[in-house]
Amino acid sequence: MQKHRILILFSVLAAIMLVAAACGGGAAPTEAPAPTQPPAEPTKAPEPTPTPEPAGIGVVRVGTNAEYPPFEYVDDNGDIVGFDIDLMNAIAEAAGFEVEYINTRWDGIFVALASGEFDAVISAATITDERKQTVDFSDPYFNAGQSLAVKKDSGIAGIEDLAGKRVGVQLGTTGDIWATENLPDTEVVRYDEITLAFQALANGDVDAVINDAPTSADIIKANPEWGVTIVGEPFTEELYGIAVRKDAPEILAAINEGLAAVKASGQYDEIFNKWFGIPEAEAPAEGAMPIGESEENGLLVIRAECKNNKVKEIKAVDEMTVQVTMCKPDPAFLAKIAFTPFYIQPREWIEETGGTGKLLEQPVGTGPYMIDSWNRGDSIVFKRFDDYWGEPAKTATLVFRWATEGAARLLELQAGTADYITKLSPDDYETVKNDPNLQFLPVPNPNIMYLAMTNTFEPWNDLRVRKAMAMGIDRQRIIDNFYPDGSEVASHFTPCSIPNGCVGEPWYDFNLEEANRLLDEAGLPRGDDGIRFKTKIFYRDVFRVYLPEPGLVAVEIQTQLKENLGIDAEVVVMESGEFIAESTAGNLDGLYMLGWGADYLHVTNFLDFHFSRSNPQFGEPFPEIYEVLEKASTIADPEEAAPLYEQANNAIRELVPMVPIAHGAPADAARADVENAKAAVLGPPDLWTFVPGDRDTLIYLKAAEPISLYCMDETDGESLDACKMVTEGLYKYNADGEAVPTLATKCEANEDATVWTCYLREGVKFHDGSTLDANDVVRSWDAGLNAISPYHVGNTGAFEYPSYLFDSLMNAE
Amino acid sequence: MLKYTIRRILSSLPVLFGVLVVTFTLARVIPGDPCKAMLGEKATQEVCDRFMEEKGLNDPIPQQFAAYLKDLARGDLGTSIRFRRPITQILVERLPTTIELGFAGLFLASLIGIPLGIISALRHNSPIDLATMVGANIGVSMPVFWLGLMLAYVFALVLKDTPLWLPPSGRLTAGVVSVPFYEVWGWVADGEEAPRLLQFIANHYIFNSFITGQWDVLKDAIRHLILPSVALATIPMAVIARMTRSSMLQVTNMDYVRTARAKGLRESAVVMRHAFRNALLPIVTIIGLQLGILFSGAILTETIFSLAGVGRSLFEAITARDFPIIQGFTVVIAIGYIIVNLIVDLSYGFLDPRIRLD
Repeated sequence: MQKHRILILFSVLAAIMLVAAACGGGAAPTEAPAPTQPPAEPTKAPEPTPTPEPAGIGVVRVGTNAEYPPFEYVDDNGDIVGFDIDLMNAIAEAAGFEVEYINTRWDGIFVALASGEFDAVISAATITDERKQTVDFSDPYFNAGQSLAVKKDSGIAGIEDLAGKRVGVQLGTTGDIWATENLPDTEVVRYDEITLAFQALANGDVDAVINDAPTSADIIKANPEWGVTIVGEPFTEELYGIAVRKDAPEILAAINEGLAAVKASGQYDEIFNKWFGIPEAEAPAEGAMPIGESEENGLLVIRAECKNNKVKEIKAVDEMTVQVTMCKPDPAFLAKIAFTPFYIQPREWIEETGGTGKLLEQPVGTGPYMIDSWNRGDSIVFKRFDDYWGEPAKTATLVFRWATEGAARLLELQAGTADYITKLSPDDYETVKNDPNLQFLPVPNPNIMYLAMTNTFEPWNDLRVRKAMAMGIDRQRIIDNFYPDGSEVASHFTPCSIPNGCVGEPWYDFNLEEANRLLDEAGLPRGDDGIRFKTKIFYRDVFRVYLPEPGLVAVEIQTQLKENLGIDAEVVVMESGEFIAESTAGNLDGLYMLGWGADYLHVTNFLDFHFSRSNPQFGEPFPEIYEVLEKASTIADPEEAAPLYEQANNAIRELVPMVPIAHGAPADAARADVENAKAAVLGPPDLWTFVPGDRDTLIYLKAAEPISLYCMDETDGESLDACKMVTEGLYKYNADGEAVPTLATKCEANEDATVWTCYLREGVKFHDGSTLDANDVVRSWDAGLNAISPYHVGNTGAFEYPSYLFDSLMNAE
Repeated sequence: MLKYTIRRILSSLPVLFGVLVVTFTLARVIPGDPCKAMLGEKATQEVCDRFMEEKGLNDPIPQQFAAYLKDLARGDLGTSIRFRRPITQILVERLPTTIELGFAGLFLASLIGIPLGIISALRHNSPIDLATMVGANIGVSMPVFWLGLMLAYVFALVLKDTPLWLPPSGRLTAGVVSVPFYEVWGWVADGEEAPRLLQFIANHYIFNSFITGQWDVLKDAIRHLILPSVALATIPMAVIARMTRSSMLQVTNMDYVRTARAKGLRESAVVMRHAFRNALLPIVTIIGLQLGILFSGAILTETIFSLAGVGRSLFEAITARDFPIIQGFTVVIAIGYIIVNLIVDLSYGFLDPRIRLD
């Protein structure tokens, strides 16, 4: 047994189960991959089952290393399951003894058997002469030999047809060795992972793949769209047997007897099919799962090939269950679907509107408010939805209005023509705080402003210089002078309001002595004028929550650099678009001030975006950071991932790709008599919980008019806010920014966060009176995520968030 | 006269074409990425590439221009990229706001500016004249932006809870709806979409509520219009007052005015029939020219008072690089300007029969 295959098999197993679950009957059976057949002749006439002799054997203790699916592994319930286990149970039943399994390490399993710790071992163990010296083996029960996989129409019928062809193998495996030794006229192409070899086969880069039969069968089964099959029987022998300790021939005899009986009765084939075969009813037509949309038994499935996209399949498993399968792990799935663009509308409504037109103006959701009218340019009026499944909205009418200028918004609040305003100007914080008729509402907005340097330019390639920057700037002074109340000095790149955001060591203290020492050490002494070197500070003159006073902060940093460290920096202001393009491409040779605001509340939105292996904005990416992040990004459970994020944050602190400066604090304001008024971490407040004094209308004033009310295709906060009143997602953010179940009762991930299964809440009504079901979810996401969906029309058609949050669209060109 | 009108319309076509060429080219050559301007700075390259390709924004500018002209010749102003709505539909919603605002502003400016100018001229060098001219100079130099905020501050906040209170924003109070006349009169069935022309007319809330007798709506709409139109009218009012004054001064020193007085005519007849009528030509010209100022002022006024008019939409479209809106609105504004100037020119003939328009 080859231990290195475990990982592959394990990941493949998840896919098998999914496919098994995914294909809801109907299609005709076809030439299913015929992986392995039992080596022994299964056609012997059933002998009369010998009467069991329980007295002689009793309980047989069977050792197994349950880490090798699908042969043996521990399932979610903690039970040992697998092909071997089912087979052993069947043998025991046929031969009339009982089995007790002992899960043990693979190393030394035969020594333990020989020393009598257990009576037998069934653990996908290959029969070898070496092992035969210490233990006995039963008749072989499985041939895991090398098999040949080809495209269905290739015309290759066996290894004899391989001359002059290209054959893919996994580097260093038995298949590699065999092909190299036995196929002199064939070009052997070696891949790091066997799935890559199969992808190459599917793409036509190689003509065949040689690999272990069971693994090949699994991969083919999980990827029917590749049109790959196995030809012939395994052409090498790697026979698995049940090992029995040498001093127990009666057990060996009983096992052989039982095995023969199981094979003869057809039970073996059943078990084989359960773990390796494709059940007839579930075999897809032509062996390929259709790409794009299909509907089986009234349940929608959307599929895509794995290219750049993350989402591979969106599927209504049953009326109230939705399953999303990913090409790559996505631990942030819940944080993403809690975000407004992914909220749900009825399938029928999306189809009736064709994914545009009225859909852009009249969203139909399940939310506490429904659209009453949109008076273009003036206001949107919402009415309470009386059949809301949760607690109904407190105020019967909600009105959205907008005013571009901060001063105008405040004036409206003071004049009483608005109840709640957003984006208070920092200059007005004091006014609002001192006005007894108003409430000041800080927004716990997750954002970061940082001072970056690109390490491909001197002197930023020197870690000591970067560290000197990390310690030599008095960040507190910047906050005190140029940021509104509530802003904080950044202890980490990611704000603490995001889970795992600020685990690990906090940022360096302000330490001029050490900073100057580092610069001296880096060979940058002060000249006669006290100047060590010259550089530039780039920025754009655009107000952002993370940087409300860009010009003033630039000058402040310039002053500090000169006074504290002897660095002469020139302040350079750039046009916004050009600045973004140049800084993010890593083309700026000086320091630059940039920032980031959360799109969804997950640490990956901050760290993975900025410190990934493909982001050149800080120069050469740091493997110490991105490798840890990549590992962490396969873990769904935040607690489990915490140590990795701690490691990543510490690496950022150690390597200083940039200096985190501030988390800016925006604020909203409301009239004093508005009860329950509270700003939300992300998106609009829960306006349906507000009570505006004794008035029956709540007026919410934002900076601009929504662009459309179909939020799958919008990115502006105004559109998203309005959508959030009307529609709901499977999850939503609560006031603390945690994703909590809403239209779903729960969503679960598989082990590596590649398959997410969501169970919908029963009895939820849409505004049009229809009831929420899995097809609504699939169609809502299909319209946004699937580039070839007929409903993928939207407003601008850019579908930026679906594309950006899930790497790329499904079935994009 | 008809010949003159036709000639004027024909001769304005090159002007329109020039306006189009300039806006079309300028909008596309100003720095900044239209994709990021429209979709936000986090838009990925992949999204942007697809977007630019689909919207045909990667084509050479002359090719885009030719395609646009072809549509325009068929009367199709195109579709907004950001809103996926026909430009004409957006105009139907936005233009009435600006027309109401512009008319109210021009009306106020003329109503106050002309009498002030006349009084100043008649009481030349008196304290009234001095006060008027100082006032006019302040008015001309007052930033609309600041004035608008001050007006809103005084009338919405300082005078809160008094009868003089005026709303600081919007066209109507939240909850007040101006029911279109075609629905009131049953021209269009419920749920059916009315022809755009009817919508366009009905969107003039003051006119619509007046002809259908929705007095509450009318009152509300007028109250909402007062502050923005005052803010907008200030500069034109000052300009009109100054022009009226100087024009009147010139005319009142003419021999025929002295003769009129010598004949023993009543002073009012002298001023109105002899002096003012002859002084009116430059005044009418300047009022026509104020339209341009009104449009530029409308951008700021509409922003401060949260009115969704043509000015603000155009400003937002420029920021977002929504080219079809920029072009469509500019064409409409240019046509409006040409028409007003034509009316001004035609009115010369009525005001002064000696002028022959052939």
